[in-house]
Amino acid sequence: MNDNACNQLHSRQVIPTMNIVTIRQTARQMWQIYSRAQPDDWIVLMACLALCSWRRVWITRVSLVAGLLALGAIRVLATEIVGADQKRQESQLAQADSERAVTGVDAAHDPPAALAVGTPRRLPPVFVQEQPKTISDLRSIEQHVSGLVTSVSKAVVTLQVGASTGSGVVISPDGLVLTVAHVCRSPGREVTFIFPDGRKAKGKTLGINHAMDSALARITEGGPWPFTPPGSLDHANLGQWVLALGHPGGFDAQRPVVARLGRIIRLGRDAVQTDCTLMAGDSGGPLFDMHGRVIGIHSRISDSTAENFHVPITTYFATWERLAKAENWGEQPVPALAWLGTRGVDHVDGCQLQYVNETGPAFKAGIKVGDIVRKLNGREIRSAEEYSAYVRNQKPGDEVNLELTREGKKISVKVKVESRRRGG
Amino acid sequence: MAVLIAGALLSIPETRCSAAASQPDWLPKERFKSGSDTLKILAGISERTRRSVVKLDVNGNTVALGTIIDSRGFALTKASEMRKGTLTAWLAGGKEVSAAVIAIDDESDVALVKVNASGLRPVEWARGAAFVGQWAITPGTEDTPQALGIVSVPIRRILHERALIGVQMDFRSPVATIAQVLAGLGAEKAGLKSGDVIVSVNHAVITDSASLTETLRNYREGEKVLLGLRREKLDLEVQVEMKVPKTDGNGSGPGREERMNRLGSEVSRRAEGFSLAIQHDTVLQAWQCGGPLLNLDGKAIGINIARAGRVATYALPAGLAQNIAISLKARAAKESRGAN
Repeated sequence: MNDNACNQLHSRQVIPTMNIVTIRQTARQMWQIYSRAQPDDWIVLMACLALCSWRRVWITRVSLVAGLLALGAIRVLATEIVGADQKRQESQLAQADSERAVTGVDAAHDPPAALAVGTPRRLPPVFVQEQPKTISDLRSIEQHVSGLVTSVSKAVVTLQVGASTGSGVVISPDGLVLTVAHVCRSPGREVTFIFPDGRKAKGKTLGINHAMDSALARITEGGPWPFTPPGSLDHANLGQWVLALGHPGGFDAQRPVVARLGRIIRLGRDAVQTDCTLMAGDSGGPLFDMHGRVIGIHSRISDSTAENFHVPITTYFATWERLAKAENWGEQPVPALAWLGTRGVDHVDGCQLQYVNETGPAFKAGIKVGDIVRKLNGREIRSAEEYSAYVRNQKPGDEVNLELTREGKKISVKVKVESRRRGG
Repeated sequence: MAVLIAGALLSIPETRCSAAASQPDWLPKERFKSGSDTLKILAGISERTRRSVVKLDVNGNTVALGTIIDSRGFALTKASEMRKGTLTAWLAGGKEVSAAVIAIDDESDVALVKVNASGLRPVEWARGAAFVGQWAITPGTEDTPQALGIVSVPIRRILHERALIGVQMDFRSPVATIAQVLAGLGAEKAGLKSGDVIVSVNHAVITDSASLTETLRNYREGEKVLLGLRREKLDLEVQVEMKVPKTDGNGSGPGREERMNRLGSEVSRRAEGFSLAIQHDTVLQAWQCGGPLLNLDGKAIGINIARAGRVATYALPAGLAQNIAISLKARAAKESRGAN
């Protein structure tokens, strides 16, 4: 059912193609171009004609006329492509308007990128390198990022939906907001949006996809609102620099939007993972590429500070119509995440436990804070991160063997793995 | 020209093959924002600044870093990490020397420490305010820095966690009348009762419940306040300790958020209540506070004062840190004169 809907969506998508123009159209367009020519163009044209009549050489005349024609043709093609793009946007806006007229509210449209708040056009070379190499590379990242934060943070909002609070990002001047399902919970709920300058606006939640944790909301009053255009993950790379903005811990009038920088660690179909640290309150906030375009929406975290997961922007577009029509679908996945109820830090011998949850299986098996985990089922543990990764890979219900050092003594303990719903 | 094109064409399949063969699913840890490959770039800065940093141990356990502020061995560090015991300092190059806390500024949680070593290099302070997006380097005593992050929020005041005396007020009353005394907090221990009217806090006059709440906001956990009470026709004075109510850490609500905040890193024992702080996103362990926070010029934009949660580390800005250093040194000099 879901798949069918998606496929239909794809087949209905219109890819803009260049129209084939007739000679007559070309001539008319060329006349339009010449008639709209700037004074500079006329000077060039007159100079060419003067050159032709001065030398009275046929060959020069022919080549000049041919050259002018060729230049004209290039300009015609260029305007044709730009025009097609503009026409597509206009027709989509018109369609959106008409849909809105029919349904009252909440029609779908692609946000027009041309109206966005200042986004830098050209990236410094450091962003195409695999790795910054020098301090001046870092300096150019710093300069770029500080400018980026100033421009894009205007479009980052706090959402208050019932008792829960989260973040979101405005992606169109009329106030469409990308956020996450676990902040909105269901369509049609009332939302208060707060902009970084303290302005408040009313609105409501639209479509919710619990399976991906994606959700759409809309501001229903005022505008135009500051917004940033959505981007794409088509050309995203591991290691690409990204900027996370949001309101960790909820809105705080004394504190502006909180910026965090990081890199893409993993590109999954279900999530983008980065080392931009997130926490409660950030949920729904935007992950930007260095062009200032939204490529992900903060969704959930796990134990390690390198485990921050963002909903990929791709899923919002793949399900755009359903989100815009305020549909409510998808089950929140409840993967049986293996859980021992422990957390630790790096130790030369493995991972030293700093926290043992008193309701967890490790506690029941007698594991204590301060124990150093050396091996899990015979596999050597070299860091806290490796330990939590190994634990997650276990199957709930199975028994694992932990080899520990406690107060200098080596012991081994069997723990029955339990499961836990994913956090965040 | 032809050679160039041919070369370019040939090189494409080659790179594709190698990319396909070793296409990783994960970014190697070394290339993370604060990974070793990134920190390597800053080796030059570390080389110049490692003698401005000391690692402080209490009874052999590292508790904090210190920021050297003059060549005679004075250093600033995080006061609340200076536990009881023998204090020693590790210098760049691996030498351990004795050290002593000589003055403490409770308000800012800064301690002035004297390190028994010479040839230390005082940190150079940066001019100009820290800005969002600025790289923030936390150097240690090693060849490369401890960690790297960016400034997340411009300089602001960090309020301390709200501590309570533990009463619920009767807001319909025109004066500050206690409606109910909460269990397990200071008010109960001090014997406050419902119906009592609070008329002063540390001799400052309290007119109503709102002014009481406002006044108590200025006191931190563990501080004791002297309350003036009117009980029926008696005037009483009682001392009450301020406490932060603890949640059980299970279920939803603040407890759950607090748990998330601590995911992946240990929070400093004192992580709130700073008159000015830079918030940055560097992931530090609690013991890595107390040292300088540098910009790309290797100059200190502040000193790390607290690991405040999963997304935040606080640093006292350079200007404030310098003022604290001056007043702590003056106090230490006065005390030593007094002792003589």
